[in-house]
Amino acid sequence: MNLTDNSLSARSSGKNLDRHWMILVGLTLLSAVIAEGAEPSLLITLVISSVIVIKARMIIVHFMELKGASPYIYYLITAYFYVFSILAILVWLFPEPLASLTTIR
Amino acid sequence: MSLNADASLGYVEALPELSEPRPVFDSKRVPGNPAIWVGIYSELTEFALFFVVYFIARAHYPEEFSSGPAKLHTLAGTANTLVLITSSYFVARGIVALRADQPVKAVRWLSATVACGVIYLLIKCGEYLWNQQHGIHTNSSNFFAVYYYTTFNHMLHIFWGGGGIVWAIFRIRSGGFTSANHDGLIAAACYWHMIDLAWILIFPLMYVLR
Repeated sequence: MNLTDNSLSARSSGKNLDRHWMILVGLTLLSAVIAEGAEPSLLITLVISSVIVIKARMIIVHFMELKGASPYIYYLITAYFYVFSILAILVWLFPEPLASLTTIR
Repeated sequence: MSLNADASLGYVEALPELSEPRPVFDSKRVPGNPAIWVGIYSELTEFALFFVVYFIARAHYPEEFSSGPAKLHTLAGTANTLVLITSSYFVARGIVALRADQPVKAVRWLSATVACGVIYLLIKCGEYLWNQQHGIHTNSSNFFAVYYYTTFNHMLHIFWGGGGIVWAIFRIRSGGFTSANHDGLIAAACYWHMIDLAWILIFPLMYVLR
């Protein structure tokens, strides 16, 4: 790549990052609105869990560019957010069994 | 349309703006260096333990975890989320600038990242002060114990993560990192993104989920 190609590529990458930053800001504000107003429910938990996964994937793919790296790094860090998002839903659905399972007798 | 370099084919391809780039996994490519990824996964394991404790405590004390988030300063939590997301964006812009052989611009973006780190710390200190004034202490409830352990630990990571970015700034200014050679910057950036990623889980668990 020559200098002009570099500048064009940088401008294009910059615009792409701008858009993803704006979406991340929007999703954060959505979470804040939910925190302030919404009544706790399974639907709200599902929305919050989905927002966690969407935001994490945006950072992993577009900011960290891990889709061009080793698949082990990409899949491991992506799975982390799926696991904890699903856990949030499971704890909402089955708090008593989890409490029973983790009680020292 | 955005440009996405396809390393395997060696050409630049046009893709829709918001679509995710096609995976072009390179099993041998480790962003930054292997050591930083050992560190990143160690840190994520540490945070994972905090999250497991959160979920177990939540199952045992549902009332405390239902009422706790409402007592916290939601605006401070939201502001810090926005600050961290913006800082991650600044780091990514800094790398793009250095790749385009624009070191002065890269330093500006990375300096803005450090400024975000400082703003985060100021907001967090203000939030803790507000908590104290409103009777929210580490022993107020199980929820607040988990909240303080997790958020204070996260705050500490901002210190040394910010130190890594400052080090990268000095390396760029001294000519140590260039458009062709900046693995150290990538390593510091990945660590900073990891701090942001941890907060992406902490924010909804502590401030949003009731």
